[in-house]
Amino acid sequence: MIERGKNFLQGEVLAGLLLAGLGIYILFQALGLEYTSDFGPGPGFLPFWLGVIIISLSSLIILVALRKPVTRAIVRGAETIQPIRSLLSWFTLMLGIALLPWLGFYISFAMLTAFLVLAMERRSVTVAIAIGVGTALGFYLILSLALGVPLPSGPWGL
Amino acid sequence: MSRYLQAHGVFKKNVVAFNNLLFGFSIALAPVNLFWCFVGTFLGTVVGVLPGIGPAGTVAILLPLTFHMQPTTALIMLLGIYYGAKYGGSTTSILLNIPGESSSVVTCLDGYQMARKGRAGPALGISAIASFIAGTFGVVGLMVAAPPLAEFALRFAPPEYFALMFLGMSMVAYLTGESVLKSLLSASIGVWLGIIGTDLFSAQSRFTFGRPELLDGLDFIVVSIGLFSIAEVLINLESNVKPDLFPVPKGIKNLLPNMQDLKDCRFAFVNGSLVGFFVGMLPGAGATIASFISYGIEKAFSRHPEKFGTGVIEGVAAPEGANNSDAGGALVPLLTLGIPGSNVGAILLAALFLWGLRPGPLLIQEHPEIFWGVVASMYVGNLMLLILNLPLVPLFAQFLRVPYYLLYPVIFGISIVGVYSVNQSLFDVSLMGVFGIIGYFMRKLDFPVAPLVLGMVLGTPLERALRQSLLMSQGSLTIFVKRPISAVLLLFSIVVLLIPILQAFRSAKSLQREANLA
Amino acid sequence: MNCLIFVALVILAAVVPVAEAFEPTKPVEIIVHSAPGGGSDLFARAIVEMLQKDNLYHQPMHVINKSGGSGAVAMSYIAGKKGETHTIGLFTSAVIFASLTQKEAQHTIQDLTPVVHLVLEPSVAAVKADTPYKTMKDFVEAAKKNPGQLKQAGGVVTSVDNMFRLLIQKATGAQWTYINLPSGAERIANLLGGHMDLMLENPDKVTEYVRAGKMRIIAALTEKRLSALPDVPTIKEQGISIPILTQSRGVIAPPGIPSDAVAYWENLFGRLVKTQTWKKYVEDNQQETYFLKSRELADFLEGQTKLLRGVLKEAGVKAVR
Repeated sequence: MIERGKNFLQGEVLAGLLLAGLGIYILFQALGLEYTSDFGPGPGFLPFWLGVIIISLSSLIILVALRKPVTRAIVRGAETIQPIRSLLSWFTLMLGIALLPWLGFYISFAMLTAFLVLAMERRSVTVAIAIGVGTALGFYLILSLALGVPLPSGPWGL
Repeated sequence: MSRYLQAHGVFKKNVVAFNNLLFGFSIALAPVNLFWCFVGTFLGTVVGVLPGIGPAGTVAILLPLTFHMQPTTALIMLLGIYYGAKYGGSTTSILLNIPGESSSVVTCLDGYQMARKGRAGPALGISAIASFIAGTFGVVGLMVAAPPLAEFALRFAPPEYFALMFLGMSMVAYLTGESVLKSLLSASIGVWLGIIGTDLFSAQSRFTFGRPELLDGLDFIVVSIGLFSIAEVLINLESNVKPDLFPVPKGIKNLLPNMQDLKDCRFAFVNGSLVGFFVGMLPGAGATIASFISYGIEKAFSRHPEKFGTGVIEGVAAPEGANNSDAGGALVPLLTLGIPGSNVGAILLAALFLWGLRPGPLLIQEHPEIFWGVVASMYVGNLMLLILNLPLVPLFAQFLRVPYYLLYPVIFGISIVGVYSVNQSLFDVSLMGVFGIIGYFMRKLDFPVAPLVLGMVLGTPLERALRQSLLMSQGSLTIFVKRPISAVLLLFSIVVLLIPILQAFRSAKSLQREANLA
Repeated sequence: MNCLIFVALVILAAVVPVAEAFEPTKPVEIIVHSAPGGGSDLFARAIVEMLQKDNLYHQPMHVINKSGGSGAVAMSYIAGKKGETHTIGLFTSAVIFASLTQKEAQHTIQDLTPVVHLVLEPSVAAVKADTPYKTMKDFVEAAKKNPGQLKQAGGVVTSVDNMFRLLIQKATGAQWTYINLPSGAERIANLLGGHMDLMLENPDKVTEYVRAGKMRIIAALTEKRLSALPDVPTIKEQGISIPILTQSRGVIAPPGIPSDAVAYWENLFGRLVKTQTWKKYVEDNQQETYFLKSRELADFLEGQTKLLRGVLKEAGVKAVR
């Protein structure tokens, strides 16, 4: 059971605000496009209304979220939800992607995997490196040798 | 209906058709063609399983290999790749929530949930069975009534497309989860994502943020892999307790669909076959749109629509069928008129050009071996795929035994490779990452993802069809009701939109009646 | 004494660099701006096939797809490979059109080295066979009588068929509506279905329908009559005088490559267009070989760009460069 409480509702409010912001951006951009053209809607017509709809709906969501009573549920056992794990994994992934043009796919992927195993699963460094290299090797065998799939390459043509 | 068919000599033609079909089988069962059919279907399955590059790209890349083959043989192989990919595409969708290609995105919705409940086997199995039934339907339709169907397809002009897309969009009413607000917001954002790119009518760019990579819009498979595959991993990583993610089914009887499953899917088989076939016939509307529409129709006519999205087997059978019968549908206008019904059709058209053939209205008369050889090979190919895929189901299901901490980096890897293979663009890969975190937050905050992808797929065609229709009618909206086909489709959409309102009204009334009695 | 001269000569020979003509020594990339299966992609693959078949070329050549923005992504990619002699690319006129209207395009064809012009793809005007228009003149007359009623199945607003429409409208005073349909398949379907009245297309896409009696070609939008369609009058012969916009296909290369590399490619393609296989390919696809070398290509591109800018201005479409 997840603990839904104030954090969750704050999340909804935040999302609502962000989306309302997006709606405003869309509306603003839409005003720079033509609203009508010969015989019908122009390129700005749909974005304009999308902006309006998104702003209205997100505002409603913020209102609904603010008026909802805070609910609390039981936390079972030792399971805790740690969004930080997800965020950290995501940052690692993006870093791995950023490294692709310099280090190529296999090296970046091995590093990404090793780091994830190390940080998320708390295994030892040797195990982490072994898994990183192992999976990268597996990919190499299947993707490059067997299938010849083009991938970003880095030093040593990897 | 019968008179219509008679006028086109369909009944008389069926006798002739049977002879031609035998002729076709004599071609399809020739050893060289059987061999290349097998190669094609096998390769197609592999390509379909790997997310990212779809059958269209694979077919194009393999075209040079076919220069040295007989045109009929080459066509058989290339088609084998196409529907092999459709069979394979559902595998990663169901097991890992990674859409194998655009038309498998809808399969992720219920297919993956079934896998989470330990029913990966039946999901994979029903996907193969539905694909086989729909594929066979497609071939039969192609064989029996290709010319009159092609004529019917020609009656679709922009107003009819608008009505069809409108029907698809009205499915949003059926894709809503608990919060109508969030579903509509999700769908609106989806439509916005879909219009990013260059406006067809004015050549003005919309929301491209100054990047040339966005001039042609966001790639649907890139967004989907981010929203489904990456987000799924991120959500699963939140908990520090190893979740019992994939209970592996015990016993052989849980590895394939049982009789109850097959019974539940009766409507889905018909739905998928028909929708995929008809949408496949229309140039510009393909398997992806067909899969969404058939899923929506399935949900609309189900006795338990609220269960869709939690792992309902019909929710897998319908779209999987649709994305297979679309192959047969796409061949209808291609082989009778030389007009490709979908993007693979366009490549096949180019291939036929390269072999010196000019597909057009005279192709069937002048080169019957192509038409009948292809038709017969589709029967053979579908059967081959069924035989190939069903025994593989238990094998694939075992894949779930891999401990999650090893699995998820591999999922990241497959996703990166898959997205990169589409356009060799690192920009696409970064976009995938961005949509991954967006998908994560959407899941956290209970924003349903299905309306977003629906909006993305149908938004632009809807807007485009509206503007094209208004150009045709010089601004008059009556064009939609003056034309019979579009009027009928629009009426149907309004009915579909009203059903949930009527149901809510009826249940409110019955609640009130109970309250009065109490 | 002779010994000394001999030694001097040997030293000179070793020290003075011999001007080596360029030859590719590693695999070559040929960049196309369409997705696999698109027009440029198929053209590139056909070229690779022909070069290897006729033994003109021995290094592997890989077709790389960089689709996006009608060439914007591909042009940027090639521009980024400054000085790279083992990368070439294919261009089409669409790239020039698009770069004039897209400010997102960071590089245009002007930033690259022109190599050769290969073929021209002509356009013809086609109508459904059961309409009363036998010539373009008939169509124009009908359009004059019902301004805006007739419909042309066309592509993007900046594509060549719209440019032709604007030029013809200006020259004749007629007016008809342009419906944007993104794919050729949809355009043909709409024409055959009777929903639209006119289509401007490459002849190889419509000849099958003409042969089956479903379509009729009413004009060739070229300077001279097409050899494959000797009975179809050109637009000029019908009294409508407009500048002819071409649809070109050719080869370009990254900026800053040495002139002997350009010469090598010019030479290679020059030999290619003289082969029988090439001639057959061009004939099958109803294209026309129009070979120009680097310097002439540069002038040609400049001329077309100027012409296009003028037409766009007439169309009321904003040109950003």
